[in-house]
Amino acid sequence: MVRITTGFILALCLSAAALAQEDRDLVQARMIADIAAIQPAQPFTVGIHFTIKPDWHVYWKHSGDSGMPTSVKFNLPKGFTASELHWPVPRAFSQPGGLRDYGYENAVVLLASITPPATLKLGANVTLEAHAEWLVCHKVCLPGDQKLTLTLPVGQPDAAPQQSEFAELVNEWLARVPVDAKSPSSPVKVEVHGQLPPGEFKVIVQPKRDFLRDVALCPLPPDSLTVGQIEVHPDPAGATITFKASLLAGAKLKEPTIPIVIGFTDPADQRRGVVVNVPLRSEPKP
Amino acid sequence: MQSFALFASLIIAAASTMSFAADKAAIGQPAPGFSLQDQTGKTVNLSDFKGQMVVLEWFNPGCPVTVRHAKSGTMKDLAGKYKGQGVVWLGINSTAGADNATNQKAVAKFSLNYPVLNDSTSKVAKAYSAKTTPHMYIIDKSGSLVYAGAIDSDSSGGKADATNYVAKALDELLAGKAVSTPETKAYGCAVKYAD
Repeated sequence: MVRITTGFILALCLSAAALAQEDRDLVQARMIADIAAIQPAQPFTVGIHFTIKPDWHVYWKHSGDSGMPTSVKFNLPKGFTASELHWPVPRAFSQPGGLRDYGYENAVVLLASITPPATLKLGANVTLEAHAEWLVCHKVCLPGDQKLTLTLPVGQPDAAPQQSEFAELVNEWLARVPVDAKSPSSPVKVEVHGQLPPGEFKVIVQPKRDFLRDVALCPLPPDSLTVGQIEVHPDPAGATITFKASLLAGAKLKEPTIPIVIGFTDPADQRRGVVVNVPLRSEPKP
Repeated sequence: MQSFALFASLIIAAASTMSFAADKAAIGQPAPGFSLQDQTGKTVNLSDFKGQMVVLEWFNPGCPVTVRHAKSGTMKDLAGKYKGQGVVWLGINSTAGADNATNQKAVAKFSLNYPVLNDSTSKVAKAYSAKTTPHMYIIDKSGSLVYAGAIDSDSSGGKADATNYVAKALDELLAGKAVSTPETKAYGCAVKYAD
C-alpha cells in the first residue's frame, strides 16, 4: 500500500502541469490557405501546418507498428466541401525491437482542396474551422489537439485568384504528396513482382531521368494484412525493395491490391513520392 | 472432415502470420513461458496458471493510451468480471528501465485489480512480438495462444459501439467455442524495448 502524502500528490500535479506546458511546445498547428480571397465555386487549397519540436514526430495516415494517425476534421460553412486529406510522403522511423512507424519530423503541412458554393456574398468574411488531433512521440508519447480557424474575405467572382503569402509554402508541400506511379507526372517507373500466398514481393523503382536517393517504402495495408521485413537495395539509379505481406490469423483477404507509397529524394534534392497499387493475387485463369 | 480442414487451415494461417519472427509466439501454438517479478517482488510464472485462461496486457504507465484505458477502467472491468470465471489477468511492463517501484506506483495510482510484471529487459515482449501498449494476448486452458492484438476496435477512443475483442474471445472460449477473431492489429505507443 503506497502512502499517499501531500508531497506525492503535489508531485503528480506539478508533473501534469509541466507536461501540459511541454505539450504546447511540442506541436503547434495553424490553418493556412493558398489564396487571399475566396471566389464562388473556385476550389482552393487549405493546409494544416504543424511545427514539431526537433527529435519528436507525429504520424502519417498509416502510423505503422505503433502510434496514432494524425487526424484533421473540418467544420465548414454551409455549401463548402472539403476533399479528403492529402498526405505528403512520410519518413520511416525505426525503433528498438524492430518496430517501424511512419510520420513527420520538424514540420508538415497536411492539405485539402476546399470547394466554395456557387453563390457567396461579395465582401463577406468566411470562417473555416478544423480540429486537429495527434500523438507526438520521442522517448514518450503525448496526445495533443488544437482547434483551428481561418477567416478569409469573399473576393470578386471573375477576378484572377489572389495568391496569399502562404501559396509558396502550400505548393512546396503539395509537391511532396505522392502521385500515381503510372501517371505522366510520375518521375519514376515502378515494376512489381509477387503474390499472396506466399507473400514475398519485389518492387523495382527506377527514375525516368538521372537518379534517386534515399528510397523508402511506406505501405498502406488493410486491417487483414501485415507488411514487414522491408529491405531497400539501392542501385546506381534507383532501388529494388523487397517486403513480406501476410494475413492475420483467421482473416480473409478482401482487397485485390494493397497501396504502397514509395518515397525518394529527386536530383533537385526534393523529397517526393509515388503511390503504387500492388496486386496481391495473380490474374485468375479463364 | 470439416474440423480437419478447419484445423489444417488454422495451422496454415498460424504459419503464415507472425512468420517474421521464428520460434516466437504464434496463434495456435503453445504460448511462450515466462518467470517475472510482480510489483511486490513476488515471482510469477506463466506455468502457475496451468489449466486456466490467462490474459496478458502489455502495459506502460507512461503511455497515454495505457492511461486512457486505466482511467476509464477498460481492463479493470474485464479483469474483475472474468476473474469469477477463472480467468487470470496479468499486466506486463517491458519498458526499458521500468522497475518494480514504477509498477507499484502505477498499480496504486490506477487502483489496478491485477499485478504488473517487470519485463524491463524486454525479453518476454520479444518472445511475444509485443508491439504496443496495450497489446493483448489470450492463452487458453491448454496453454495455447488463441488471441493476439488490440483490446478493441476503438484506437482513438471516440467510438460509440466498438467491439471489445478480448471480451468477445473470452465469451467464446467460456462457451467452448473457438475464437472467431484470433488476430487483430494492436494500437498504442510503441513498446519501449531495451536496446
